[in-house]
Amino acid sequence: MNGSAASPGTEIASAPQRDRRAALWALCVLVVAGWLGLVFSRGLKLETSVLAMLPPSEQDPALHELTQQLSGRAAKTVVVLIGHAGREQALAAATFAEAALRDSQAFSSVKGSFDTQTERAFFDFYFPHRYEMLSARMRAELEKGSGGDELVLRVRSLLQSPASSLYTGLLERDPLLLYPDVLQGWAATSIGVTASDGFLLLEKDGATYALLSAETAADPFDANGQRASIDAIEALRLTLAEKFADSSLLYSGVPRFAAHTREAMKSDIMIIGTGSMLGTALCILLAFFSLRPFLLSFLPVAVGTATAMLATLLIFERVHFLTLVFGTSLTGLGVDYALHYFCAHRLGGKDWDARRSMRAILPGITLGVFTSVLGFSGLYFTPFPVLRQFALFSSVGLIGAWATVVCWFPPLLEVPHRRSAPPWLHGQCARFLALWSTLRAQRGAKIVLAGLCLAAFASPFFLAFEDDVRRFQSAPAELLAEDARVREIAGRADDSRFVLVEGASEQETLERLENASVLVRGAIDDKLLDNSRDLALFLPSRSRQLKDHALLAEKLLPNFAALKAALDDIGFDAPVIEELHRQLATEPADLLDVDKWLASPASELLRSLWLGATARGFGTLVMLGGVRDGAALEQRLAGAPGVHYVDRVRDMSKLVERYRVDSTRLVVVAYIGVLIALMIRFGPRNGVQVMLPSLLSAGLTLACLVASGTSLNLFHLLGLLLVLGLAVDYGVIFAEYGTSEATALFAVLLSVLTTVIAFGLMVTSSAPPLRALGASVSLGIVLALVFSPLSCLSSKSRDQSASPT
Amino acid sequence: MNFAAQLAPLFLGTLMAFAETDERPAVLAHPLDVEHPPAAFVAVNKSLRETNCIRADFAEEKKIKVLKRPLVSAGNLIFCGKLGLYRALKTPFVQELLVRPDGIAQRDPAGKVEKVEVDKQPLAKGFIDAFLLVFSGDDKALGAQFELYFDGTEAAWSMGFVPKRKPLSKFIASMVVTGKKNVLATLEVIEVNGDRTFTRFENVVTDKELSPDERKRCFAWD
Repeated sequence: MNGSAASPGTEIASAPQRDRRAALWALCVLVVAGWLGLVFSRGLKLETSVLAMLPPSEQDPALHELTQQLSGRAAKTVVVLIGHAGREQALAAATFAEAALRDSQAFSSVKGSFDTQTERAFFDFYFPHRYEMLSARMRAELEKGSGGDELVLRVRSLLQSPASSLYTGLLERDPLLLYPDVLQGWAATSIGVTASDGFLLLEKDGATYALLSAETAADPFDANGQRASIDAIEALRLTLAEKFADSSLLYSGVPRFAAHTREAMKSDIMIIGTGSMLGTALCILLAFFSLRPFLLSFLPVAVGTATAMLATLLIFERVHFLTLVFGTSLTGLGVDYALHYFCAHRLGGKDWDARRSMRAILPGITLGVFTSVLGFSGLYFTPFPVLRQFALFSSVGLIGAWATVVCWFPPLLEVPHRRSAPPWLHGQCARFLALWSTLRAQRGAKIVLAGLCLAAFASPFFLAFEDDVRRFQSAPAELLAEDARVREIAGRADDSRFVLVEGASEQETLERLENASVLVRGAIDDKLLDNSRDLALFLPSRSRQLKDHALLAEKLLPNFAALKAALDDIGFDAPVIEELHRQLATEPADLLDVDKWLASPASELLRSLWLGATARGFGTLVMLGGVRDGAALEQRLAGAPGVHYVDRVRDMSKLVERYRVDSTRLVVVAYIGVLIALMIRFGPRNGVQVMLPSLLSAGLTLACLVASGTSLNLFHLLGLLLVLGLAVDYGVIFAEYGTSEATALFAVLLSVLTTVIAFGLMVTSSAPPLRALGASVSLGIVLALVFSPLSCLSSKSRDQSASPT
Repeated sequence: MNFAAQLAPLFLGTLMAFAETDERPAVLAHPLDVEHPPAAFVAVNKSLRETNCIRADFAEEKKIKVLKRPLVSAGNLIFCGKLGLYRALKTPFVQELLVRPDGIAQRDPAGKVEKVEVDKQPLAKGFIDAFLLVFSGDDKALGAQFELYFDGTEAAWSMGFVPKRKPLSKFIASMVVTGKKNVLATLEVIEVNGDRTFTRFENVVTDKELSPDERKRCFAWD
């Protein structure tokens, strides 16, 4: 190694050079700190959604755009149900609630009661088109051969019914009462929602619920999030309970889950951050009995975290909360390089030379940072945004920590340690190593080791995997229960499953939608799902309108004299009948179309279903509720042109599965790559020996997880990548360390302790991915420590590796 | 959620004309204090409540303003408490109507049944509930839904109902029922837009139980 070859002359000359290096790094750190301050002052954009940590649907840009649009909308919407056994009380409470939510200022819009203007807009928009839009039932009747007689009988029986008041107002302009039939057609597609006093009312289990839907005012990605909105609803819950006895409030929506995730993750950050910081500091204090290393240990962590944070914020638009939680564990990793230096310092005694010692450990920790970054960079090239963030955060963080140790520590730790005797822990390490060397010579131990190797290498064949993305999200049972209840009562559509209908033109899209709508309705009849919502009935295609009009004309005009007589018999005035004739005989000039519909306030509630121009033309949605058999539904829609069934959770899970398989390969490739690198560095046989602890620990980690019945997911495997990065480090340090093996183990032990503290704390996280990561890393690292002495090369082979060829 | 349902029933209400107050029924000059109802009112409702089954022939005249002549119809009906109202129209066409708390169904002479489930038709539900209530004698429920009016004695009475609540109040101005003891004589419905329906009941039978055959034929269509 270079250090031992350096002459005293160059050493003296290099001292000011090193101080320059320290100053230069200080400048860099200042720039980073300033820049970070600037970024923070502009406000952080944080992401909490589990779906956001997954890659975009890469195969289809139109779909990607659409899902972004959908989740963007869902991210702001909260559905609130106000219930009471008495309808009147429910209405009163809902009226109060609507006003309270509006007054809270936490929502940009609150939709509850419907004003008469909206009602009027609907009538004004659709009534003129009553001869061009037939209800499905009416169309079917006419196609089956019904004509004037049947229509007149229908009018008569409507007028004879006790509820005739509902129709009489229309009679003069709509003598065949076609418009009420359209309305009834709309209502027939509903899911048991009734409107009264302007509110949307739902009856469930003897109680009446009024439905309010609100959009949060805050940006869903704002660091403080939509807390204000959630607080407003929770406050309302209390007020309602006071003011309206026995009333109930149920609410759900992405903001509620996001707020919960935010809080859970904040407490994760607190626990993991504080825990690992304190744990690490305690380790250092115990190991070195000295204040200076204790204080210095915060430097690489702080600098590393700041640098990593800045890099992540600059490269990614929104930082995922998981990245921040994960980043707090960096404490354990960043402090590693410092530990090696502290060990050298502690054991250096009176002859301590800060610079020479740095030169001595430099190759080891440099190779260490190189292999770790190599391990992480594998993650950077996955399409998972959150993994890329992890990789970037960790890599930059480690480099920052490494640079801090290399540039700052020699000038900061020039005073030798006041004790020269090796610390207690060091003695234990020596005993542990002695144990290992005894074991190595024993036959029984060799057999046990062989058995463990077998278990390690066999474990991959017994793995069970879990790729369902929903398992990556955790929410308290009460939140999930309330969400399920809201969905049950309000029949809310599933945001993750829908049908996308596309066409080259608006009209083609609408025609295809009409086809898809019929297919979905058939599937509802066959109980494949509960309900659906689409525009087919509200925005018929031009060809459908022309056909409906032609159908009416064809059935009624040839025999109009009879129809006229029948209507006259009911008592209609002649001008009313003449006007009917004119309407039927004239080709409709002014058809409904997308632009008119979009421009009308009548489209307000349904506008979101029309996607407008997409990457391939135009698109519209069929929202689905209570899907029971998505596969069967998909099959039914398979033949329809321009119609795609989309199940984001399933697609995401498939994607997760694919990447899990890919990352398994990545793990294998990474381990082989590192092995090759070690074989080049240490020679083939020694390379394998240095690698052995990593392989054993990874394999046995899997074996432990299998034995405990854990289903593995992507994050367990990624944990193994991290284990590789760290365990190889330990092996390399053992093999490279110029000093005694006990000293190497001492350093490794400390680094393992700090890492296990960080990742072990991650097991307490509320986020399942972090729990998986924490479990596999902390387990793997402990095992790596236990087996690390296997890397000890005999002095002979170390000499060989030092001078290969 | 489904927006269709919330929209469907609303617009018809928007079209209603303002009340036309011609010929206000006489009984509406006699408001009733719900807290202290006259003995005759209590007695009439009690006897209505105690009547299991009302059978009658009816003749109805519906005056709709936009039509040149009234719609006239006749037939018979059975009102049977919780089972609902069964109405068989004989003229001007044959049709059976069954009004039950959960919906309205129509059956044509060919036996074809058409149902309107009221949970999707809040207006229709309002009508049904009110309709069934008026004959029920349930004075508490009546008081909650209507301003009540009463005139006469137990032997010859008239009761007036003015809906308190939307949506019914948007359509119905008042309803007046007259009768003798538990025997209904007439029902008049006056709508907000001025349309009127006058129904006369004859051959009222109140003391005959529903036969199993009737129960099946008239009230069990499913």
